[in-house]
This record gives sequence, C-alpha cells and structure tokens, in this order.
Amino acid sequence: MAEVRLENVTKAYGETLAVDQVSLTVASGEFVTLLGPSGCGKTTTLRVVAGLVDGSSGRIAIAGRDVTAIPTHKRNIGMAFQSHALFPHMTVADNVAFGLKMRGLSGADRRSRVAEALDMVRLSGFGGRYPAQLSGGQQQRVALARALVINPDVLLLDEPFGALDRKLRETMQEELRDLTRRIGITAMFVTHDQEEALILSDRIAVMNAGRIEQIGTPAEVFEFPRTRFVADFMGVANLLPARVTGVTGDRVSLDADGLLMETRMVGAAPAVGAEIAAGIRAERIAVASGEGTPAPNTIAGRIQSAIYHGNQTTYIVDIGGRTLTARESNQQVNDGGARLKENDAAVLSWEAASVRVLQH
Amino acid sequence: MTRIFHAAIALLVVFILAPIVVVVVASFSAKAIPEFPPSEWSVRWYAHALSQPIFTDSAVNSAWLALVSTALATPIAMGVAYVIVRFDFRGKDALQTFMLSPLIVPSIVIGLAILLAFATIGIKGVGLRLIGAHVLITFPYLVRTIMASMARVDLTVEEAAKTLGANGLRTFWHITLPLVRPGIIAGMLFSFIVSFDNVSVSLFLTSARTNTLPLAILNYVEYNFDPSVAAISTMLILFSLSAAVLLERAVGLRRVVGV
Repeated sequence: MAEVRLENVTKAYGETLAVDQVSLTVASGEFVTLLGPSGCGKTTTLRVVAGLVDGSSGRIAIAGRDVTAIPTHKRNIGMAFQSHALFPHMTVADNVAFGLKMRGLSGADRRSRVAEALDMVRLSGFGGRYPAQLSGGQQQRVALARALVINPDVLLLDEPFGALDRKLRETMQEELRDLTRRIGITAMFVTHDQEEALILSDRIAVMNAGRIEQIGTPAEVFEFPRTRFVADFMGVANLLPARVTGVTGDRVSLDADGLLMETRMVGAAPAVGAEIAAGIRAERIAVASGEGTPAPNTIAGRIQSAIYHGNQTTYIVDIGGRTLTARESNQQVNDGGARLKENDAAVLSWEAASVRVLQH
Repeated sequence: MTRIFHAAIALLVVFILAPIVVVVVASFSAKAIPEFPPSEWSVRWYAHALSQPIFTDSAVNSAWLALVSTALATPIAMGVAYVIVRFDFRGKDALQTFMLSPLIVPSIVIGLAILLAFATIGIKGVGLRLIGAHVLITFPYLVRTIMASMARVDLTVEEAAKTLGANGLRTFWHITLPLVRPGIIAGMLFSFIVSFDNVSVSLFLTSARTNTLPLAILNYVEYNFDPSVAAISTMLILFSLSAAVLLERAVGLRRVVGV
C-alpha cells in the first residue's frame, strides 16, 4: 500500500513561513489529521503534498516515490475540498468518471467503476443529476466517490465537512470513518475542529505557526497535551501560570500564584523552579457545595455563574480574584436546572493525575 | 407610491420603444414616403430594399466583417482575459484599463487615428483596414464579458481536475472552457452587433466600392426618403432581437443546470 512521507517540508511566502520544517510519516492505511487554527499552515501542508503549492524546501514521497518535483496530475492522489469543487457543467456520473477518463479507461470500464463508486457512497441512481440538484451532503459524497474511484495512493481531505451543518457533519464523519477503514486507504485530513479530529483519526498532528507542535493518538493528544497551545486547542479550560516547587519521583508540586497543586507526571519531570502552565480540564474538577479549607488540589470559592447546558452544567467559580471553570454531567433528573446557584459557596477539588504540566 | 413608480416605468418603456415602433409601422407604408400610421399598407418597400445591390452587397460586407473581426478578436480576448483574471503582476490594473480604453475614447477619434495609422504603415486594402479596426473596437466588449465569466469560475474546481490527473491543457479544455463558454458566446454576439452597426469608425475606412450596411443606409438617406430604409431597419431590429434570444438560450439555459 501507500505510505506518505514529509521530510522538512517548508513553505515561505516572502518573510513568513507558512510551513516550517514539517516532517511526518503517514503509514499505509493510516488516517492522520492536521489540526490547528486558521493560519497554522495545515492547509498549506496538505496542498504541498497534493502539489497544488510548491514547497520552498523539503521532500515529499508518496508510496515510496519521491514526488517533490512531480506535478499534481501525475501524483495519483484523491482530494476532497471544503467547497466540494464538483464540475458544475457535468453530471454526477461524468464527475466521477473524470479521473478515469484522464487515465484513458474505456467507456465500458468507466461505467462499471463509476457505478461501483456511487454505490459505495450510497448514491446509486444519482448519476444523471447535476451537482446543483444535490444537497450539500450528497455533493460531498460525490466528491468522495470521484476522489476514490481512481484508486489513489492517498486521500487528501481539506476541511471537507466545513460547509455542512452540525448534524449532517456528524453523519458524514461516521461515513468517512467507515469508508476509509473499510477500503484501508491512507488518508490526510485537515480540520480546525478538535472533536472531528478525535472521531476520525488514528493520529492527530496539532499544528501551530507552521510547525507540528505535538503528534499522537487522539487519546494521547487529548489527555496528555505537552504545551499550553495544544492544551488550549484541545479544550483544556483552566490554564494557570505556575512554578515548579518540588519534584519527588513522578510527583511534582506546583504553585500557581498561591494555588497549590500536586501532579503525577507522565514523561520527563520538569526542573524545580521552572515556569510552566498548569492545565486542568473543566470536567475533571469536582464541585461540592459548602465551605472548605484549602489544601493541595483543593480550593474554596464562590459560584460566579452557573450555565445550564441540559446534559451538563458549567460553573465559573471565583477563587479570589481568579476563576476556575468546572463542568459536571447532569446524571440525575433535576428540573431546577443547575444544582448550585450563583453566589453559593463551593469547594473545588481534583485528582493529582488530572493536572498537566505544560510548556509555554 | 407603487402606482407612480409603475407609471414612470411605463412612460420610460414607451419613450424607448416609440421610435422603434414608428419605424416598424412606417416600413409597411405603400406610398413613396414613410407614413405613420400608413394610409395604405404594403410590403413592397421590403422587396425594393432587397433588390437594391447597395443594401444587399453592403449587408453581406457587414456580416463578413462582423464575423471575421469577431473570430479574430475572440481568441486574443480570451488570452488577455485569462492573464488578467488569473495572474497577479505589476501594472495589472493599468493593463485592464488600457484594454478597455477603446470604450472610453470617442469612436470618431479612433476612426481617425486608425486611418492615420494605416496610412503611415501602408495598409491600403479596404477589407484589411476594416477588419483591423473592427477587431480593435470589438475587443474590449469581448474582454469584458469573458473576464466577468472567468472571474466566476471556482479555482478549486480546476485544482480538483488536476488532482484527478488532468494536465493544464486538459483542465482548460474540459473544465475552464466549458464554464466560461456562456461568457464567450455572449461576448461574441456583442462583438458581432458592435461591428455590424458601427458607423463612426467605418466612416473613415470604407471606399465607394466597399461599403458597410450602416454607411449604405446613411448614404441612401442623403438622397432618398422612401420607406425602404425603414424596411431595412425593421429587418435589422428583427436580426438583433433573434441574436438576443439566442443569447438568452445560450447563457440562460446553462444557468438552469447550475453553471
């Protein structure tokens, strides 16, 4: 099958580096997502792989072949775009057949392959329609069929579901997940939506300012962000500047401006005195009502606002000039909305294993 | 309020259409001078007009001239439009303005300028002179309409074609050209009409033997005032109208399928 290798890929626009020394190997059959905010270089990286943008330096290899100097149309890739990019003047069948036609397949071969591909995306019988006559989700499925029918070495997806509404997006994510795993294709996916990345990917590469800041499985990136940026992007709500005050084995003590914390490190322990950021997910903070005495990983405060989401409640808790955000699942039926109300006294606590030591 | 508005629009339509209606109706006069409304109806001036070589020969000349100059100007306009829409370069705005300058400079000035230029470089053939001049005056219309439709083509559609294995030429042929085709057809029809009824530029370049239809009409009216000119005009109106219908078919129908 087909592995994709990026070696020190760099793309400069004048003085700015859109992509800065990105190296990454996508194993055969693996689904890797480039995740990051707009302008982080994720789309440019994908476009360099596609050959739609020339890299300033570095090398790209697809299926063991160095394609750095090979134009897009000879790379044997399949690509889906956010705008679908269907050919508006062609029927669905002609859209899907286009890549086969460019490869010189005969009419009969084309028809059977097109029928197969449309069947794969559950659009049999839509071959005679024009793209404008399809819904957004159907259009994107045609785009997928068109990209996959040519048996590409790698499927490149540039925010393909960005233009769809939430519900449809979830359906399409499931379909794409099933489809790519069933046919075992190597895929590179670009998105700014962390949830989408978690659902779809074998591995996630979080990008910031043209670089890959962290790469790992969804659980690794979600649970063990290494930097403040990654933690923030993966939705860690509480990020506090802190100093390392003690290290004993894997136990690390932190002082976040008076708020004392203890954590168990996974990986190398930081040096004593290091300035870091302490990160705690909102859903890992337990909220109890009443007064309490401060201790490591425990602090008393007052509910500043209680936001009822239905399945969850978010508490913004004033802990003396600063706030922490805690979120709990509403597991019991409670027709009164949030369990605690504004101005209630509350005690926040969390487990040492929930505190992350993050590099700036 | 809406009533006043509707009345104003009706008045405007009448104002625009009235002269045309007068010409069309007068063309059916039976008498030797155009009457409105005619005291007696006839189509004899149509027969008369069509039997006059001064009209038929010049009509053929005009049709050829419009066809040839459009055919020559179109590929050039496509290239220029492509470069202006697709590439960024220094002086792009200046080039764009320059390409449209024949629309801004009074056409009588262009006619004189072309005459002087041709005389200087020694182009003497009337046909060649007319074609050269008409390529120049139709060109801006073509560039404008083609540019407008080219600017609407989604670039990622072309990129998608490339990822599917189409090189630059095949992408242009299979994707870009079909998507721009309505603009090209519209531009060509505009160009044909602009060339066909041009007076001010042709005026400087025609000869006694090679004439265009608008100039033939002008010459004829100087010495004659019979309804045959109205008949010719009516036929021209019919011709333009069918061109407009053709245009709507060509561009309008494609829009239905989502272009």
